[in-house]
Amino acid sequence: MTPTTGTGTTSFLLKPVGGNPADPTNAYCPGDSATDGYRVQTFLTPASVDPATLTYDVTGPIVPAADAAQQPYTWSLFSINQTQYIAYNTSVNPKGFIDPTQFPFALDILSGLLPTGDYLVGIACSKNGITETYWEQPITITANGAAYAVAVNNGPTPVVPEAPLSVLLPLTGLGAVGVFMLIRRRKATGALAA
Amino acid sequence: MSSLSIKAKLARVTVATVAAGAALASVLPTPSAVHADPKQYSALQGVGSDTIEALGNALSGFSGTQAYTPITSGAPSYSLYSSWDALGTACITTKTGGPSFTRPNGSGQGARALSRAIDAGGFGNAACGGVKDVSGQIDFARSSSGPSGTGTALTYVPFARDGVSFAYYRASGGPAVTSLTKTQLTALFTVGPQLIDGVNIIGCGIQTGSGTYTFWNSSVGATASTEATATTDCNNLLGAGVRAQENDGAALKARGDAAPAGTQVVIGFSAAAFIAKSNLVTADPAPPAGVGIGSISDFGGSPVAGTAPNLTPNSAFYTLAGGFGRYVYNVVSTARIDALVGNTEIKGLFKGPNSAVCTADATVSKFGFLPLDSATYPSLLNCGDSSLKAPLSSGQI
Repeated sequence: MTPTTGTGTTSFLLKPVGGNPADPTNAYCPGDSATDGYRVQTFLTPASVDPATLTYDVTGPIVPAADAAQQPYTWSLFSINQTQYIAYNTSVNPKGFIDPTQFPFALDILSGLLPTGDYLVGIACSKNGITETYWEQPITITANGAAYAVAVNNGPTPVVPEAPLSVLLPLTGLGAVGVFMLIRRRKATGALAA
Repeated sequence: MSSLSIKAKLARVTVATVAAGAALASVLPTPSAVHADPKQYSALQGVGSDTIEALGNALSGFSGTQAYTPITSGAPSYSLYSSWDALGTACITTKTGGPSFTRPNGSGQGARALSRAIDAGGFGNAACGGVKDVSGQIDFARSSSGPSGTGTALTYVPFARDGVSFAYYRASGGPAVTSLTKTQLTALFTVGPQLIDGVNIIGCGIQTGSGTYTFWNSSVGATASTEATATTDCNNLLGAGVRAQENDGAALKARGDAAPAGTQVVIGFSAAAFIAKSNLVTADPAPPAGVGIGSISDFGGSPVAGTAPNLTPNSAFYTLAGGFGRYVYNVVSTARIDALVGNTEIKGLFKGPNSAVCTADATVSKFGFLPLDSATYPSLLNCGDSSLKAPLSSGQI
């Protein structure tokens, strides 16, 4: 996400990648809008909400019932001109391509509505309103009256949901990621088994 | 279940990528947020009513043979208004990259298409590849009929007034009957053909997706069932049960020419559409010779004044309480027009007396409608009023 810090009036941009091994520097939905029914959605939600559980309607992202308390803090992204990014179409050719430059966003329109805390912003591919894939970026929002300070809180990385990581990463980074994922997978397996 | 597993895996990978963030960023191009794409690509897309389509085209920038200044939502987004005709190619694609789906014909189908864009329930038929997900593809529906049912998902935003009377045509046997009472019209559209002033008059049916069909039935006291029975003779003149496209003078003439000698045919007809077509401001031809719009003698008289190509609305007819005047609407998602924040496109185009549609009085008047001017007509709804709610309209077409 660029820039990595800003205020409520800063225009930020996400740069998701993944979804098409043949084009690892861009992002793709699993299918297109014209024939496969996918839509590109955007979200901002408290970090405690799993973006995989979000659904989408004409108002934007909807949290599951278990997270109902977080709905007031869950929104689509808005442009600096207050355009709400909901249910955009993918490209037909390349099929499923997402153009992230369509979604520069700012938070000033939500002034006074977001308490200080950790959030996730991102882009999702939905089908019939259900999240199919998504890209997320953790950020910290500090509310100061009606103003916000915004900081990417895990470094300047875009979030990659799928395999292209192994193609993209320099070898030095790849080794570190592999070790980290192995540890995470063991933990997750244990949790699922339990 | 497998899908859930994939999502969980994606979330874990998400966390893992953080460690390699700096390296990843170093190999990615920096995208540009600068946009210079035409505003037409982000225009709000509307479908539905035939009656309002010529005006909708003008608000979009071109109607008939004339260019107009396109309306926009104003600051900050300056979104354009884009309007699809009720008839044309069978299938339409309203937004770049979106599905090709069945063109909604009339207010009823327009409201259903908008409803499916809201609930992602799918809209269309086999003519365009079946039912398609139209979510995100339709932003508003033109409607010449008002809200009905209990619910709040849709908002009907009035922006002008129209009048509906009967259009007539008599191919032979003498002059047509040009003035009827409401009682006579009720008989024609609930019972069947009537002998009036020595002329056999038969009522013709409007295609049932039309808002004019709905309004006309309501005005003359007909139900769908009684109207269907009463218009059977006319609807069988060009084939079995063939109803006419609304506001189509040529369609009425064709039925009159096929009727027994001396018979007069009549049909509900938008006065605004009659004016606009007679004044040659639409892409459609003027009503054929012999096709006129009649007076309702006990409810405001003639809906029009003057002669073509300078016909004007009779405001008394259009505004008569309990008469044959009606509002015309843009229908939008309530969640959007009443949104706490954002949606400035919808609000700027439609909501309130200062919205773009409500300040386009000259264009609205040119197409035979009466602008809703609260100073002149204090008893009418204000232009841009967003208090009229309705449920989503069910169905796939």
